[in-house]
Amino acid sequence: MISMYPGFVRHDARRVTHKGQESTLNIMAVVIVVSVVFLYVFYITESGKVGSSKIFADQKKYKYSEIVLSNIYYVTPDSSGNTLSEIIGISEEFGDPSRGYEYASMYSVVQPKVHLKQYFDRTLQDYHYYFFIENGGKKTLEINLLEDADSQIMSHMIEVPLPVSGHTVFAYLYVW
Amino acid sequence: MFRKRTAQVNIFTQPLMLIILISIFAIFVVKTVQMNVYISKEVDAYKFKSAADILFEQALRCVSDNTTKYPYLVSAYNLEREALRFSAKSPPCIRDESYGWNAVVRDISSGADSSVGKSWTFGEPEGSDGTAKRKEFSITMPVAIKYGDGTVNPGDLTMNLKDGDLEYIVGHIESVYRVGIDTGKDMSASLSMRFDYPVILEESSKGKRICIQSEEELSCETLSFSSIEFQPISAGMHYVLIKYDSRKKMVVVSG
Repeated sequence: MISMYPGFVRHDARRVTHKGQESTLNIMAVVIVVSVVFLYVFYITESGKVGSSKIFADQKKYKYSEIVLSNIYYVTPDSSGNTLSEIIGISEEFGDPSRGYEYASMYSVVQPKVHLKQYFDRTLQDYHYYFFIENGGKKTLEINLLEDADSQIMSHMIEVPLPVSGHTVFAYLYVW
Repeated sequence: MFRKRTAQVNIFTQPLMLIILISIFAIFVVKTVQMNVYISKEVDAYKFKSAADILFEQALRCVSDNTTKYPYLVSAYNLEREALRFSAKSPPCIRDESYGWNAVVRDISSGADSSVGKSWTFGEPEGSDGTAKRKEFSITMPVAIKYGDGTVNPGDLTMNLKDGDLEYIVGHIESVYRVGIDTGKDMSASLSMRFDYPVILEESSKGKRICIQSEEELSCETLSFSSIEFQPISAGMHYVLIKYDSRKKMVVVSG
């Protein structure tokens, strides 16, 4: 039988060999596909792992800096009884730009930048910050510089009224 | 010859592939389970931290200056009052029966050194310690402190939150008492838990306190009421029954 149909046997043997290679390749393909899917899922879950501490720290930083900026409406840095926002307003209208917007009050010379820096240094001890006033497209009373930061920068802006003209300037605070 | 080699390849590679496949599947299952555990822990931690945020807002309302609606302007007068009346227990304006807390407000106008500036503390100063303490968290937010002469200084408010065996049992007792008083009916609650240290009732000048006696120290929380009968609970697993008797207006705790 075999000797009568040698070609058939050879052909069958080749077919068996081909089948074996095919099934090995199939399993390998499955393994590769599963591995890729697994690695992808693993990567997605690991990269999406944001701890509650991180979420909370970011929320806290945002709210903290927002309150610090808003408090300039209330905090009185010197004996004059003027709030920081009032000092900003007076300095923007009457301050000397060549001397850091300082102005003379009843008892002394008020240096707004000194008061603002002292306030922000004390309240934002754990963060980096950059503060400035925007008055008609011009930056004034700049404190610190916006450096390259690895972490997320959060920005806040509030309006500060000028006492005489009734116009407003904008106080910006960047925190990271 | 060729057939033999192919057979050898199949004999070795197929089980190997199967093992790799099973291993990958096993790692996948383990990682999924780990992820679920991680998520549930994070949800728990987030819930706890959110409680600190809520308490912070309540504390602000307690001490905020009444002349403005801005909540972060607090009155030094109100701070003095709360610190004086509630130096060892929770003021009624702040309600949290799940956790122990205390709030510290400090004036930072004199600089970074907290020992220089003035500070006020109210709420529970102690709470669970050692193995009886499960978790704790602090949150600090800026405030502006208004004094009687009109001066406003920068400050901050730190809310310290604790969760542990002491907070758990005191929370349940306070809750039963509050619901009993509000409804005027008999109330009861039970809890089954394992105590690492004995729990006792102690009387102090500031009122009745539930205390956990650890090896090192006595950690206590002052109750907001004094009509309580408390059967001391020894260390170990206990089924604690907390009952409110509406006729006597009294809480009875038996372990």
